[in-house]
Amino acid sequence: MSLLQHARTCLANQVANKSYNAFISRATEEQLLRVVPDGENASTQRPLEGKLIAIKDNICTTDFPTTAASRILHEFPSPYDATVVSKLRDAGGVVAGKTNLDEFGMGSHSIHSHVGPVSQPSSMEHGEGQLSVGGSSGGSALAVATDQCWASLGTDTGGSVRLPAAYTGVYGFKPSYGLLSRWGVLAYANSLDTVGILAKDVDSVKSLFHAVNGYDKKDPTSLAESSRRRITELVEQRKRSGRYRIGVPKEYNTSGIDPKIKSAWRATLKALQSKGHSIHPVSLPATKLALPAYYVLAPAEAASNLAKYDGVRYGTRSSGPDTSGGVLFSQTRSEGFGDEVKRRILLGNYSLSAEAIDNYFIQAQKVRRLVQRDFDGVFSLRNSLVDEGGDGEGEGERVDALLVPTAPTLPPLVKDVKRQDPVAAYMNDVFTVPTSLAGLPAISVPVKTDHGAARSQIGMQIISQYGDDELVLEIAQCLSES
Amino acid sequence: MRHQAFRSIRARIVPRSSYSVLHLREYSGNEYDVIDKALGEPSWSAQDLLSSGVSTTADEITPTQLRKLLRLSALPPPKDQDEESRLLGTLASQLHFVQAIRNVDTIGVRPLRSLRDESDEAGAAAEITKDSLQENFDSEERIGKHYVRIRRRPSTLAETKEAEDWDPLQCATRKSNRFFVVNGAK
Repeated sequence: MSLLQHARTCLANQVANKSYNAFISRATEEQLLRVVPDGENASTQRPLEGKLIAIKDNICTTDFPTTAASRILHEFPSPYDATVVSKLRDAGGVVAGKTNLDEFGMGSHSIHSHVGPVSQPSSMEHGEGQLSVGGSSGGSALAVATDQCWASLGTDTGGSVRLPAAYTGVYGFKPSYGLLSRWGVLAYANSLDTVGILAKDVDSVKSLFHAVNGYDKKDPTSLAESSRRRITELVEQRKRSGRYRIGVPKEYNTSGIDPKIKSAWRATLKALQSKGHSIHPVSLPATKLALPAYYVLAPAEAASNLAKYDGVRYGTRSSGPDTSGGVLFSQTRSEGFGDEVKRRILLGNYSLSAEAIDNYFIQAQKVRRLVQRDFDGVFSLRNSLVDEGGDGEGEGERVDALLVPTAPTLPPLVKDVKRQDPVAAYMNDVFTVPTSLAGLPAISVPVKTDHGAARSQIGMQIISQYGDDELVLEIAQCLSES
Repeated sequence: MRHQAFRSIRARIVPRSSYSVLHLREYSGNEYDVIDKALGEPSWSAQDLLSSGVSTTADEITPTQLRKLLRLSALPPPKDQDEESRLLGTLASQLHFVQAIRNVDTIGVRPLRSLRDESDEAGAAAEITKDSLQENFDSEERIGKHYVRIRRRPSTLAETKEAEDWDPLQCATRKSNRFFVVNGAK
């Protein structure tokens, strides 16, 4: 199919799927067809030439508002492109539009959005109603799953690329923290926020990843060139046998796993075994603590990152005086933020307050170190970010990668999620959060199930050591061929 | 011992064509024992983190504390009793959810504040030394007679165009001339 034909197909799908709310704003047919080269004179020099790429709406672009699905940024026009966006444009990519999300990335079902929730149709076995697409990059995932674009960018703070990828049956890749620039990405929890990639096959994930990867001096958390070189050397020293040792951490085998997920997990391990890889039980004891630590750290960082939204320099401002109830800007912030954002800001400011900071915030950062050490103790590759303990302390077997489910359950019904207690919804992130705390590369791979569902909605996650991103992609490729 | 067992499994080649769901056990019983072992009895339940499971009691937030937190968050105080108890209830269940970390022994553990290269090599590379600043020294000149002072040669001044040629007021909704307007009336 020519680039132009593909763009036309995407446009048709955007119209057909409009009611599922994947996009907040999108390019018109006229705009797109002007920039997508037609078959005859298409230059194939650039890797993303003419490809339609959807961008999560918390990543700045000059050609659409950047709203983070928040009322407070309702029509915010960014004066610049995020570095990842200018990189993909340089590679020939075309921005198809901005996708819907949970406000500022806070949520696991893409229902906390100022412009309304994202959803997907339910298949028979789920019962009546619409299904969750996962979150917070739900729009980016659905746009890929329903061919409204070729690939998309999302952000992953505690699983926000991988969970929606699993729920919609596409690939969702969260690279190692620090590889992709965060300049121009609205911060939610800056020590965890990672730009991620969603696509329908591993080759597309790879080409988009390679186009946007690179050091950026504008992002102080971008991994330096010298560190990148050192990590590449370390990774290349490993003998490439094509056969890997795959670990199964027993702490990911929780009693809440849906039997269908468990059988898919089993089948995926068998498939890897049949391709010559070996399976090894391992233990990551701090896994149980990862979720509570995450829900201390992420809200605390959010409270700090979102303190700047006051409507004065930019953003939506409430009418009337700026003081209400004796608190400056409180009216603007009260009207501008949704409930989930306010809940997290409040919790965050508690764990940062003088009486709680040691027991909550600092303690959570220490637990985060334990989670990192756990991973260092099972991977055969040492963690190049740390000198001491880069090899971990584990005495058990070492593995090259881990294979675990992305989520404990199948996508729930949107109406059930809306009824759910907000804290119970945090449980969805139990398998994605540990990797985020340690900044490790992880990809959610859609796996085929036996019971003939129209679209696979089970995702398996491949995780490896910091900087070992290519291995994660290689194993994902291997699984896609089974 | 266990290690050897794995090696023998890896050495055995299972032809792909014979990989059939029905006959899995016949071909490679040992291999599936590994998977069965790994996926056997669940090791814990994430539900334990929710209110019903954990026995430790969380710190209780008083209505006075709640008002202080709202003020710190630049959010308005609760409209009524209903909203106040709803906010307190949510905070209580959130705090309950994160209690598990408080019982962990973390004596001597260095907090992981951010993911950055903490290796000695990276530390050395980031070090500011006389050598690394030589270029800057070279671009300085001494001026003045009675009051000798150092300045950068005008020809070496940094390019500020991109960083400075923008209008900070372009997105503000309320402004007066070159100023932002904030109305602090009560």
